[in-house]
Amino acid sequence: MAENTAVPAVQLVFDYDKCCGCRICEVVCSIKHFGEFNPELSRIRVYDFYHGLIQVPSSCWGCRSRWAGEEAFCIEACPVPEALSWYQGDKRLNVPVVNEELCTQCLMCVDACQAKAMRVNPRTGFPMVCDRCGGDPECVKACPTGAVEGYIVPMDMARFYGSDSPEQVAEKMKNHMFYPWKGLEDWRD
Amino acid sequence: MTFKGGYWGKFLDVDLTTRSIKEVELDDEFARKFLGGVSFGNKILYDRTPAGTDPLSPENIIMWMMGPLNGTSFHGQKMFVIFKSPLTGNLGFCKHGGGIAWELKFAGWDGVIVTGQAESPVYIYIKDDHAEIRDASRIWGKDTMATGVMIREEVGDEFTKVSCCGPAGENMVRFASVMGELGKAGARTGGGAVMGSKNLKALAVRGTQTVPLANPEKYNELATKLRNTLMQVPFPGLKRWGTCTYTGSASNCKNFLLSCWPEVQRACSAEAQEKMFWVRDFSCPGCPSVCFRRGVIRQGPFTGRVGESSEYDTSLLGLSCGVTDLFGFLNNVGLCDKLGLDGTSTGSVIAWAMECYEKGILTKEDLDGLELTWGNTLAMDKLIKKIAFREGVGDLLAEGTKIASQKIGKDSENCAMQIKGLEMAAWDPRGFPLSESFRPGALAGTAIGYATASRGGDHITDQNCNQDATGTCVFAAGQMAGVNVSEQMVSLIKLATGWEGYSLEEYNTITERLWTLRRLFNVREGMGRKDDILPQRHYTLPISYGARKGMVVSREEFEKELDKFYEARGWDKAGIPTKERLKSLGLDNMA
Repeated sequence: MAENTAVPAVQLVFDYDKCCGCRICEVVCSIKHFGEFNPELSRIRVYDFYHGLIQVPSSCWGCRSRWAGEEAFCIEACPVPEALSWYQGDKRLNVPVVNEELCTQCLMCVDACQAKAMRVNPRTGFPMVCDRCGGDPECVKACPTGAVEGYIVPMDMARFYGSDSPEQVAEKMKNHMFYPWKGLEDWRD
Repeated sequence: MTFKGGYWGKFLDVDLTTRSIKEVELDDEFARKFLGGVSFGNKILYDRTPAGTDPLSPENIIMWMMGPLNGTSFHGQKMFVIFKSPLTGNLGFCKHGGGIAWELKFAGWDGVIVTGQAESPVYIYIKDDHAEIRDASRIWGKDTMATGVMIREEVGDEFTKVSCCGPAGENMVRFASVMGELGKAGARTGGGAVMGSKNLKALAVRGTQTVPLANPEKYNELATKLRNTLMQVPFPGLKRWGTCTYTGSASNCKNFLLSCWPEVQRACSAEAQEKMFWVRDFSCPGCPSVCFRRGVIRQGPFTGRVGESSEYDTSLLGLSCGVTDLFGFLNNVGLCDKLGLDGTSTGSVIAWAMECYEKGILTKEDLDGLELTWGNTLAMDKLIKKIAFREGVGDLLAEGTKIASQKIGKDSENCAMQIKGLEMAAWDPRGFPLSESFRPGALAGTAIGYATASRGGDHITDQNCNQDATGTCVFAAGQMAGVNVSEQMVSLIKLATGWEGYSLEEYNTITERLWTLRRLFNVREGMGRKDDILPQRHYTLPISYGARKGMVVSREEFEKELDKFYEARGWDKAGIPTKERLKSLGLDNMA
């Protein structure tokens, strides 16, 4: 859906090199949206790989598939028309929004999201996704290392920020950053 | 009475012999008296194990304990592991960071108590209220990093966190560590060996619940405020290099024969590690003081091994062993983490062996043909693996310096830098005041603090009992500039638990109560004034170099100061807590 190209987008950008796995983003996200602290209620999660070697933060990017002029994975997967659609209130936010009146909780969107950014609210069972805190993301403000950054970029730039799965990111990081890592149990002769 | 918050009010009690799992209640009075974390563990260990329990027998207990501030948004979450130490025969406990300190509290438990001995290798898996004992024969023998990866694959949940022992623990090396995530070691006093003796490979936990708090809005507000204070620390030290910052000031060089060794200290410094080894940072959950480093070895015989940059105390593997080869040093640090060895004790044991080798007490034949000269990192790499798997000479060294030197004899006891069996940390008490005052914090690193430490050769832990009891990290709290830590901790505890009239005084009493409780445990094991002593070297061998040249610890003054210390603690001249003192601390039902 490329009709928004003139509108700049508030974009979350992850600098994986910098993420230290402190999960403060999860803390502030759940406190902001639910008033309590529980990572399960957070829309941003930090995935851990190789038992503490690599951390990958992940949340909604606004989706890579838009680059090709296609619909986002989650919206494309949604079987109910209008249950999941691009947020129309503030177009800068560039996020999908769940219409809980129409949603049937089939969770097809959760399976479709490569970045694992579509999460399930354990209280209601509805999918939940980053809303950019209305344009001023808490996680960006709280990140101690600057791994989660907020950018206001033109929409046609925003499409470039891809959505790899955390596993794909970890695989890339392992090969690039920890070169020449020999793999698990590297101490064995 | 039920809890308003901060605690779930239940422990998980696992008996591996009978494979029974039950719930044990935690009452409010007990919680208020001991607060949590290491303190709960010390008390339960005292109550449940009779005197003279063999640490490696099924009767020993190993506990993972939570404090009232665990599982909350306050930063610096630590997991406390408490057991009777196979290295010292006294009280043993250690702490490690990592996500499991959040996860176990989210799962709805204030702690896990493990007794008995499994017939075959097992691990304990907890998913919220559900707990089970699972077969671990597939992961038995794997290193600590692979264990975490394999368990997570097996349970099929990417957020599961693991606390495990490595091959060293399985082989019951007396200074084997309990490991959280890579580099997050509950290193000291041999918790891994206790796990190994129980055939327990790991504790794997996943929790999804919100921890109840008496006043969540205000609590989160205060925690956020304190976190922001920590984020604005002007001093870059711990944030940039972790405790490795202080490696330059670590004074345990060449097994305490030197207090300064410039070329070694330069080679193993934090700056060198940052330049040559560093890849990325890592921190404990919720903490903006990012004090762990990950890196990869980029050249030399160990190319391709990943690991963690050294901590202050694991710098013994470099400074104490005279290593001038940075990558060799970092390989050995990483190797200790992966095999589940305590880097501090391993460094000290190897330094002891190196000194014995230099003096001719141990020969090349004794060492299976290893040329154990100062700074030979290739030989150290082989020796660490031998220790972890108890092969050849490693079987002797795996007993720790105290037992090993008693077996070898020939004056090697004087080369063993241990107190109560635990190898000394990287701090040299010579040339510093014996004790600045008897206030808990001021004793850290002093001769009195060292000699009276309940674990043994430990320069800091006893001084932070009340912080430990809350389940949070003393470094993260101590760094908050312009914040009175104790007062803020009391506010946090009040907001979390909703206790009426919880005061600073009550909070500070935890330290005194815990010191006396730990003392009681050690006295019951036959420890006394005779064990509150530094190694002979500190009394006789003057510092040879630098500003503190010529200094020793004066034996007479030390004994005088020790008397004063006992008096300040309310203990008698033999170092045994008096009846009146026990009564005033509310420990009077304990002998």
